[in-house]
Amino acid sequence: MPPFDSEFFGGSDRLEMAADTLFGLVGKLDELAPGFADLAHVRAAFAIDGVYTPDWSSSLKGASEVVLLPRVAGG
Amino acid sequence: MNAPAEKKLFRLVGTRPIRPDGIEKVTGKAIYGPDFVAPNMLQGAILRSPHPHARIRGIDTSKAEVLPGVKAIVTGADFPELDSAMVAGGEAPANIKYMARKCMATDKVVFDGHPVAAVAATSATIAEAAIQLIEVDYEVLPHVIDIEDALRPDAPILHDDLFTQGLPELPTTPSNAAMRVEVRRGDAARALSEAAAVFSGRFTLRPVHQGYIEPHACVASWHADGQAQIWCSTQGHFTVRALTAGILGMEIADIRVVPLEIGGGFGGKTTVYLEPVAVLLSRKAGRPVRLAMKRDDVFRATGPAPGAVIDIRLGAGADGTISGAEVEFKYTGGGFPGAHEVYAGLHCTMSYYNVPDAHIVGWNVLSNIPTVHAYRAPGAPQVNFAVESAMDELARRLGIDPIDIRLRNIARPGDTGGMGMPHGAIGYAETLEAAKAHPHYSAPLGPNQARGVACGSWGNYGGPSTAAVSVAEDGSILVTEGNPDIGGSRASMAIMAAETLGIAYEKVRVVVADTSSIGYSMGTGGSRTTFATGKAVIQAAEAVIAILRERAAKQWNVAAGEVQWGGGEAVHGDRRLSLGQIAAASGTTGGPISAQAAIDPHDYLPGFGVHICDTEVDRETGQVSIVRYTALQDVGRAIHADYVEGQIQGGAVQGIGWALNEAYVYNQAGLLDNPGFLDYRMPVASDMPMIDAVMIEVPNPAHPYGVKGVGETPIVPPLAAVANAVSGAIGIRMCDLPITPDRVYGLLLAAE
Repeated sequence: MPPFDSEFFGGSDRLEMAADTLFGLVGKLDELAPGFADLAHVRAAFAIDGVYTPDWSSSLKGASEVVLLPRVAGG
Repeated sequence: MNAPAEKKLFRLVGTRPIRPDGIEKVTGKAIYGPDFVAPNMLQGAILRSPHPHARIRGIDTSKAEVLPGVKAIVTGADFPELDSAMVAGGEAPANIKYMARKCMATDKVVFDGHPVAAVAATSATIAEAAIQLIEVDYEVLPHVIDIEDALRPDAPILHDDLFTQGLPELPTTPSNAAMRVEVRRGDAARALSEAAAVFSGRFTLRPVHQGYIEPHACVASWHADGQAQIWCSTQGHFTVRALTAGILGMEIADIRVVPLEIGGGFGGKTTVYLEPVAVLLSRKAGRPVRLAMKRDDVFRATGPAPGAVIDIRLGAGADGTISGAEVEFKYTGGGFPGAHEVYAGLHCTMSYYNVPDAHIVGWNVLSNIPTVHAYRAPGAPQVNFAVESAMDELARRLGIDPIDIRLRNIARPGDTGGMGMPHGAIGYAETLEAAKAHPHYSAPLGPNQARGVACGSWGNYGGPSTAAVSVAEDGSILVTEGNPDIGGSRASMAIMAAETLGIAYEKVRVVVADTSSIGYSMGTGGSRTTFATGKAVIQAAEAVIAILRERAAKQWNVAAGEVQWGGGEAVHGDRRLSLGQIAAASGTTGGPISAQAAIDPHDYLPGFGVHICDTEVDRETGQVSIVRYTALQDVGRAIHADYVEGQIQGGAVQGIGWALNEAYVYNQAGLLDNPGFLDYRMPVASDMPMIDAVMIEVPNPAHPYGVKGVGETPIVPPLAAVANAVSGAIGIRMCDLPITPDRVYGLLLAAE
């Protein structure tokens, strides 16, 4: 999950955890790095098993990988 | 190559009908930002800092206040106190505190041209005279302009409360390095040590401006009930609304933003500079206020694209397979933090090559220039210049054709990209193959001429869009969208609506609605509008078709499911009802017929371009001429072919300008030396050959008509394409842009 790994998670670019939805995942990441959730709402994008998923209520049931990406602005 | 076989699938998609806004624009009737007039309107002027870095000890407006005709004066003290808070104003977040400070300085100025006060008066002459009467007590501070200077331990620090973001440990001392980002995979150092060929180099670029012809301008009107209205030229009026509300502490719904025609944006009009100031002036004066920038204001005080210093090491095996890469890029951030170009640089570095071992580090470095802002594929052209130059060098050293070495390493559908995402239906390989087969690639060259090739990519975007489709009483169609028409969205929306409804293009009229007249739409940027807003239009049109089938079924007294829609008609057996007939009967079948779609699609796909550039170098003067240029691009599928080709041509020309001519030039005092088109030399038509734009259509399966997004990719390859050609012509690697005649001549002289 670069570049958030250095900033929030002590340089760990992969974490293993269970969550029901992206909301739940963000909550768990916020427990690891307080303040992450607030910034994630405006700075982060998520992909579940390779598919960009803007709806954070999406189920993670059966998902094997969530990629955390910075939002990029176009011109 | 401009007539893909699949185009026959569609009646209108891919054609070139007359643009709906064309007549108004060529007859001068279109209303752009500086044209708008409100009754009883005042004229505004802004006092700007003459220093690149200074503390404001005090501002005395008393003399200006008593000048006859002056109705209001605003300084930083009139803005609400804001804490640092990220707000989602567009594709990427903005720190509202820094956004406000950019519009109006409070305690410090951090670039030449930084606003420090504004006046509204009964005439522009009086307003200009009034700002000259405002006395600002500055404590001039040491300034810093260049990246490497800003990172020195003894550099002047722009913000005492700014600590580098993205480091494993929170720093304890402030820095001009606002952000560090990093991606590491595999062992790049080991891979490079084992490579058959390694290229190492440092590449530099200066900040460049988007160069839109129309300057920023707006009119704001404060209403007695605490609401406000803004008319402005912008790429995203919903963004203007959100940022103005955030800066002024207003409710979003209390601001109505009406988008006017836009005379170019290229990313530079996705933010606010004037609007919050004009609203405050209007609140004080009780009358509408116009603010408009002059050309030197635009150059001095609006965000250019970042300059950069890029160090790269790229290694490959003897067969040309890239084995490892180390890239460290430092981008200028300007006066305030928050620029996102480093994120894009991270996304774009080696993004379309399979590189198993890579270490990429990016920095956003503040200095005393305007806060950088988006410019067409923001953050991609800079790092791509280094990567594609390095690829060219490896091809030369290994004796491999420059297109073949890229084909050997290109990412293909299913491969994992640099940020860990798998690539979808991308057309990278198809575009490279088309380039290799293009007659330009094998055409003979003349004396002092050489050919350069470079690739480039942009991820494109989707995001939230709202659109409505309404049927008029006679069956003509009105499409309402929330995206300003910059690159032809009215035409493309009309085509997609007409294609979906099965009617003539001329039956559809498209309007761009203000923020209070349509649901939220992200701005026109990121190459997203034809894709995302297009999807919304198609979905709304499909919903209208469902209603039309129901209305026809009512007239025929059959089940709606038995009625088909085709060729602009409802069909049930041998019976047919045209759209016009159904519309005419709407008053007796259920009332008005319309539908709206509000969506947030993210199944967009990137674009990919390959540019072939022939240059001729005058060895006596160092002058470089572009003698032939071909730009090939995977466009998904073109909706309006003229607009798509125009985007490719325009992007290519802007990239050529970055390569050959353009640069922000600051003098020793930290003042911009070239704030006008005479000294800031953008390419003009007579500088360019005809740009041959070649559309490669590898459709996006997630869009009903295959759209991917077009506008940004074409500015990414030209920097390296031009540099590679010049390097080939003179036998010296061109590592620094712009490639001006004096630079080329100096290198030739030194080589002798």
